[in-house]
Amino acid sequence: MARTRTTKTVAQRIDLNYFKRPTPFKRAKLWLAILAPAIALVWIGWHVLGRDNRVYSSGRLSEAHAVLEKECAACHVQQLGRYSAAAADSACLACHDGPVHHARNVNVKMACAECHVEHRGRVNLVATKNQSCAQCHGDLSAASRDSRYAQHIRSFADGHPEFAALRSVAGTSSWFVGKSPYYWQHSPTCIVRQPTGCG
Amino acid sequence: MYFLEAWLAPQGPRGGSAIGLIFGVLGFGFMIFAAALGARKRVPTWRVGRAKAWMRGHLWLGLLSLPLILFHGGFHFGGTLTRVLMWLLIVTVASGVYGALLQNFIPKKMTVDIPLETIYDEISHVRGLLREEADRTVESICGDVGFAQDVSGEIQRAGGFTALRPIAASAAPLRTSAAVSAGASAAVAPAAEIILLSEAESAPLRKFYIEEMRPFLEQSKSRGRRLADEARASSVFVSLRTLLPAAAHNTLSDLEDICDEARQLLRQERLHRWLHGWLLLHIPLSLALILLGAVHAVMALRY
Repeated sequence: MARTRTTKTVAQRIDLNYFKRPTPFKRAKLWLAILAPAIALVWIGWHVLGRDNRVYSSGRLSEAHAVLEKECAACHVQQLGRYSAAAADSACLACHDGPVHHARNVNVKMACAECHVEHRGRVNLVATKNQSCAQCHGDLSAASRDSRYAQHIRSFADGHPEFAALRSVAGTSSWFVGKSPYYWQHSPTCIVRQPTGCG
Repeated sequence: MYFLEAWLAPQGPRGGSAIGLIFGVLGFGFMIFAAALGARKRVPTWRVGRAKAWMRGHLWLGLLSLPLILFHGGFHFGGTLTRVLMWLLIVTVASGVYGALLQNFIPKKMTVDIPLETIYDEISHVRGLLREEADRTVESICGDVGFAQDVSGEIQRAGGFTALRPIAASAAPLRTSAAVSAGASAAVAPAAEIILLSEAESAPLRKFYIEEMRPFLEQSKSRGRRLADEARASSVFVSLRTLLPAAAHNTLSDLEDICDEARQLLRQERLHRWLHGWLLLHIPLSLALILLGAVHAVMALRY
């Protein structure tokens, strides 16, 4: 007699409580679903208990500051047991001689970290974006009380007058000579990018 | 919006800026919604939208969370925690996309390849019933082979014919795999007389059953693998037909049919592992992601 399947016999062979029984797949899914968050919790808990706040860092420090990788408090001043979110200017000035930017002309005070952004990996920290400078120099009439030079400088290639050093070479008068070497200190990468000068 | 910020912001796109925070909050919100599908599945009686809408939301919002979080971080992976989070998100989304693709492809393949598909969780149970049915089928012509068990209750649930229990003629027949392959809609054959073969006559069947078919039905890893291949199994049964008297050919057809069903269950198991195996990665990692994401959100706002 040939083997025959009927709807009834097929239905009868199914245990109606099958979904209540744990299967190896269901068990594995359950255990892994418990295990993975548990491992994550233990990992983060380990750092919390060890008071290691580096784990929350938003990125690696620049090459120049790599030695401070484990010294959060060197830049983020601790107040009431908490680190400040932004690096304090005083912390920068403890190591760097950063003259105040156009102290006589500029109305606004900018923090170092507004242009020199840390925790972006091994980048060149002095290479600030043009937009950082153009915040004020893009419209100097609005940003400063007294601007005797170009009014709208968006980059060294766009609106910036000739550098004094280059103008001296050409034998022309230079407003830059004898003044603070601020630009040389603060814009070396831009000068490297524009070896023949801007403007 | 992101590219505008990336172009205009002096410091470049950052997670801490207003737009960066919006991206972060949206991305994390989408992740939580996607994770809520698991809770929704656990309580199917909840009247909070249709399951299809939930699944569609899970897929699209879960997928969208990846670019949003990349925009949030400005395509930087950041520090230790954020790097871990980024990789968790990438692996979770990638495994989800992989799973969604499989869910579109494998069920169609299953419908075509496995006409005798059963409930996955019941496969081992059904396989046990098939084995018992095969034992009884063999013993019906070979006499006692040594597999006799008290299966009076189980035999009712085996789903197939046994020589000891004739099926009622009025029962609506289902298509057996053999019948399906033959293109026949009815697979009911006239009842055959039960004949016990002599020991010499039944020796090839006994040998084949004990050494090959039963291990195959028992899912032995090393033995009976020939029967896992349809073409090779067919040639085995053809050769057995030449060795056994004609009276045993119907029994052989039954055994071949049982083998075919067991083979389909094997294939179903394999496809099921593909269909759902990715969940073993997707679910645990997504839970870890939500947990660490919450830690990141709290600590980033604190510092």
